Amino acid sequence: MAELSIFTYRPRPVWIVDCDPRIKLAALAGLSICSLGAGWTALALVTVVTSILWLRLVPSLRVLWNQTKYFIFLLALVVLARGLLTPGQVLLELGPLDLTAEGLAGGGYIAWRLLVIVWWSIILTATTAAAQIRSAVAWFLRPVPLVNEKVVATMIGLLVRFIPVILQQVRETMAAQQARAVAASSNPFRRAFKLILPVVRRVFLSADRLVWAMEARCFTPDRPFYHLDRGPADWLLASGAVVLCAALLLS
Amino acid sequence: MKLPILETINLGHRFANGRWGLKHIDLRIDEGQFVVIAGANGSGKTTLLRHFNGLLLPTSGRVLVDGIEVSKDLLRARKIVQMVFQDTESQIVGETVRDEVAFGPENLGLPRDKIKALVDKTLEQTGLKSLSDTSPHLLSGGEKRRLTIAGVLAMKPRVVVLDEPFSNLDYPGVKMVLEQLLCLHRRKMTIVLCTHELEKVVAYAQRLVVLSKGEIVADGQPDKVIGSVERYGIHPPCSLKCKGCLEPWLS
Ligand SMILES: Nc1ncnc2c1ncn2[C@@H]1O[C@H](COP(=O)(O)OP(=O)(O)OP(=O)(O)O)[C@@H](O)[C@H]1O
Ligand SMILES: [Mg+2]
Repeated sequence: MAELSIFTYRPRPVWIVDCDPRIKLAALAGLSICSLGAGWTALALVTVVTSILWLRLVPSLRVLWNQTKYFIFLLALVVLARGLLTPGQVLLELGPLDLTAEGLAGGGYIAWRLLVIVWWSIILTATTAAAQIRSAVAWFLRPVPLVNEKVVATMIGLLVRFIPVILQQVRETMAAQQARAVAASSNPFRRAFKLILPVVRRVFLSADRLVWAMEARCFTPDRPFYHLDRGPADWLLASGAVVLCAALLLS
Repeated sequence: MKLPILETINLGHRFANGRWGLKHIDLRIDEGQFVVIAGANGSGKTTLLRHFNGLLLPTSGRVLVDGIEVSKDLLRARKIVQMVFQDTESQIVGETVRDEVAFGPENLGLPRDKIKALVDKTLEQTGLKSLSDTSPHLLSGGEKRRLTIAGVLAMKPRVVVLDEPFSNLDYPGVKMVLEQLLCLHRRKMTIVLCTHELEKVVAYAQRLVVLSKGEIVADGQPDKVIGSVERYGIHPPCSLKCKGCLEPWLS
C-alpha cells in the first residue's frame, strides 16, 4: 500500500489524537444532530473552525481534493437535483425542468451540511484508532439492556478498520482496469458496473483472510478495552463542541 | 516414548469444489525439530500448514497437536501452534506495529502490564522497537515480515509454522529472518517451514519432507532426501551441484 488515505488512522501530531474517544464520539453525534436545523451563519462559523482542524490534518489541499473529489461530485449532483426539482424563481430553462434560485439555495444548504458532517466523521476516523472507537462504543452501550456491547463494539471496530481496505481495493482495481483500457469505454454506468463486481469480490476475499488472521491468533470478542482516561485536551474538545452546538441550535 | 508435538494420521483434505488438496499424509514431528516442507507451487504446502492450527479441518484422518486432536480444542491448538502466513499483508490486523504485536496476547486475556512487558520484549527481539507507533502499511516488505513473526512470537507458542517466509525478501531481509529462526531453534522451539527455495534453509534443517500433488513423496534427513527433489519440481541447492554437499547459506 504505497499511498495511504487520509481516512486511515495513524498517530499524528495533532492534539485531537490524544482526546478521549468517548468525547470525540459524543461531539460528533452532538454536532451532527445540532446542525440539522442550523442557519447559514452558524454553519459558516462551524465550517471555519472545522477547516482549521482540517488544515492541521491534511498535508495539502491537493491531497484533500484528490481523496474527496468523488464525494464532492456527488454533492454537486444533490445541489443540481434540488435546483431542478424545487419550484421558484426560474434562472434557466432546461427542457421540461427549470433551474430555480430557491432550489439551488436549498440544495447548497443540504450539501454544505452533509460536507461538514462528513468532514467531522473523517476527522474522527483519522485521529482515533479502531481499538479506541471500539472501547468508546462499548462504554456507551454498557447500560443498554439486551445488547452485548462487546460483540457490537467488535463489529464496529472491524467496520472502521475495513473502510480503508475497501477504498484501497477500489483504487487498485481501478488502476488495474485503467491499465487494461477499461476506462476507454465512455459509458459511466458500464464502467461502474465493471468496477463493482471485482471490488466486491476482493473485499470479501480480504474479509476472509482477515478472519483467518484473527482466528489464528485466538481472537475472542472478550478482548481488553482500551484504557480510557481524560486530560486537558478533552476539556478543550468538549467545551469547543458545546459552544459550537449552542451556536448551531440558537441560529 | 515422548508424544510428538505435531502428528497427522492419514490426513486428507478435499476442497469445496471436490478437488483433493491433500491425500494420505502421515507425519510425526517431535518437539524442538526444525523441519522443512518443500514442494512446487500447488503441491499442498499451505493447505497442510493450515491443518496444524485448525484453520482447515480434515476431510479424512486426524491431526493431533501434543496428543490432542486439533478439532476437539481449536483454541488449545492455536495457543501451541502459531503460523506466519505466506502473504504478510493479510496477516496484519493491528493499526500500529505495537497494536499488531499486542493483538495475540490481548486475546489470551493476559493482564495489561504483562502484555506491555511482553510486547516491549518482542519488539526489542525483532528489532522493531523504533517503529512501534508506525502504521504497518508503511513498513517495507522485510519489516512487515519481521512484524508478522513478532506478532506470532508474542503468543509464546511451542511451534512456529512459517509459509514461504523468504518470499519477496532481499538478501539482508532473508538473513535477518533466518537468523531469527535459528535463534528460536536454539531455544528449543519447534519450527516447520514451507518453501520451494531450499537453498536458504535446508542446511539448517534436521528433516526435509517433500510434497507433490498433495502427497508426501520423500521424508528424511536433508542430505539423504535432497538428491531426489529435482524430479518433483524443486530446484536443488547450488552447493549440492558444485561441491556435492549442503552448505549453510549464512556465511
Ligand atoms: N479453496 C480452494 N478450493 C479449491 N482448490 C484449492 C483451494 N485452495 C487451494 N486449492 C488448490 O489446492 C492445491 C494446493 O494449494 P496450496 O495453496 O496448498 O499450494 P502450495 O503448495 O501452498 O502452493 P504455493 O507454493 O503456490 O503457495 C492447488 O492446486 C490449489 O489450486
Ligand atoms: Mg502456499
